[in-house]
Amino acid sequence: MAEPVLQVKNLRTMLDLPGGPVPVVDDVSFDVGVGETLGIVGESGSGKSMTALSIMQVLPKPIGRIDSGHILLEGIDLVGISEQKIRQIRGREIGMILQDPHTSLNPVFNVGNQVTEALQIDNPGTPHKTLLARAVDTLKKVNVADAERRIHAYPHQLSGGMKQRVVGAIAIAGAPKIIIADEPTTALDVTIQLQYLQLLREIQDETGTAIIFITHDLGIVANLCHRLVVMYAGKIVESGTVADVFGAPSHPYTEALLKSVPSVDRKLDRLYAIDGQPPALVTNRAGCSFAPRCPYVLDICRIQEPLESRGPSGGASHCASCWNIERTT
Amino acid sequence: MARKLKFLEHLPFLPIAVLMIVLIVPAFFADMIAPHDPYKAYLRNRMEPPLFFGGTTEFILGTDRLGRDILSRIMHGARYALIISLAGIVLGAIVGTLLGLIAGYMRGHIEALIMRVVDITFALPSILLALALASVSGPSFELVIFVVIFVIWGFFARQVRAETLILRELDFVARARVAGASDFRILYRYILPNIVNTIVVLATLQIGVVIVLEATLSFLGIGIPRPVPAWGLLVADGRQLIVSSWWISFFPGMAILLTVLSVNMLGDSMRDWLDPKLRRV
Repeated sequence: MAEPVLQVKNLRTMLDLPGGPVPVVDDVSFDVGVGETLGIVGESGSGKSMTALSIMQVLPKPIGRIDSGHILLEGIDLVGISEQKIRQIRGREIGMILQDPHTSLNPVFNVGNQVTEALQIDNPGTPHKTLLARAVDTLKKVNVADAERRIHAYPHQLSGGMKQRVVGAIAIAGAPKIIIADEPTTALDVTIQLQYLQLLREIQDETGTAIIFITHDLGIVANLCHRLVVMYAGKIVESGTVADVFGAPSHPYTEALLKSVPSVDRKLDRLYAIDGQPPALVTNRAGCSFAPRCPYVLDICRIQEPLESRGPSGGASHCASCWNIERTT
Repeated sequence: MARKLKFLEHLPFLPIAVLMIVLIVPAFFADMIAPHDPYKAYLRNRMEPPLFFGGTTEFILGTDRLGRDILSRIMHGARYALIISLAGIVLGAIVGTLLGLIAGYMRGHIEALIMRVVDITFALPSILLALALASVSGPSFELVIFVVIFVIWGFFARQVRAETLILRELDFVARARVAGASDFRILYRYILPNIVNTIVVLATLQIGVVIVLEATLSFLGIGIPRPVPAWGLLVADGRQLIVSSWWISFFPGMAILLTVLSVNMLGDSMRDWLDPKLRRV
């Protein structure tokens, strides 16, 4: 793997809810290298977005806080850094694309205005005309057709796919080393989704930026990502290269997730579903949090939390946290 | 530039024309265009009816019970209506908007404090406040403006806070934050522009409130001192004679009505122009 741009080490993020502090991200560690795409997969409430918000340090105030761990951006720890310094990093070093393009743009300014605003952060004092020309270039980079005219358009005059491209343009305007995309295609049509993913790949090829792609769509991960981490109840349950994890899923949760994806080749009547509900994070639980829903559950699973062990695929970075890892092999 | 020209093309002609005739031109040029001295009493022509109702061209809108020309008094009163509404509403809107933004954006103790102060200003009768202040400093022009600010800032603070609460949770504010925008930048570039519409509409709606408030204060003798022809005073002057000499109250009332109505219509057009979604392309 290439030099890591971002290293997350034992990150623990708490939400101080009325019932007491709840760990929404629990002992999460991963690396992202230059030009690499890391997928973070998991169902709703598994802590994917909270991980992203922790990296950006925009956790919901005042209840969210990073409890422990380190977030290293090119070796510099972002945990505990001053608000002023982290603001320099947001947008310039780390860009972010949010889920819903329809609400991600300021409705009262036109597109050119919003892209130039992002460009201006890096180039204060540049005349507006120059910035506008660069905004047009940036929009062309994200395949906005007729960018010269589109810069005068307001968000409500654009389609969802177009808006998400503009959001992408704003994200890459500061030439960030890493882009965090939090389910950017969920609100888009399937055909537009594909275009958008291709666009992300093109941007990555061109600029060498790293991408953290948060999604619950395994198809996208298979398509776009180099490596992935699977999250469940705030913890990483499995991580590895896409080939290793998809080829030999070693955590029962990953296995179940992959089984529940509909396939064109297989003929089936009912889609596979995981029994039960994801655990409420408030409840204090001993052992593996997936144990109540796990088909391979052992006695020890309910008592002691599983340790991380090497996956059966033999891949160097393939790890899973499960007591019963041998079952599949 | 192109945007400004477009606004000129869609200028609402009627309300502007009415405002010019009733409020703006008289406010600036009353000395030149008023047919009579507003303070001069023509004791021989007391309670003269308006033209077409048995009056003469000498006093087109009739005279009051001291024989003062109503048209001239309305024209001179326009200046007070304009200054008090403008100064009071602009200052009240600024104070209310700033505090509303802070309350809605910062939340927590600051919000609680500001909103409780708003509740107090709503609970405290403005007349009582004006009476108390007038007994200390004597009735004056500044006092009226102060009371106007005191009465209306709470409306702005409440509305602005409510909208800020909604806006601050929207994705584009989150996007701005992850793009490295400071709190100040988020407030003036992402939240404020999205509530300007509301502020403008609210401000135009308050004009009626302000003119009536000014009239009330003047009526009680704690507003603008008596001989001055403020519109509220003119209406109050005719209230005992409303059956026999209706024109004394009617025409100043019409001036208030036309002003408030036109300002509201103008506010509507401005809102359409300020909101990109309603802007004609």
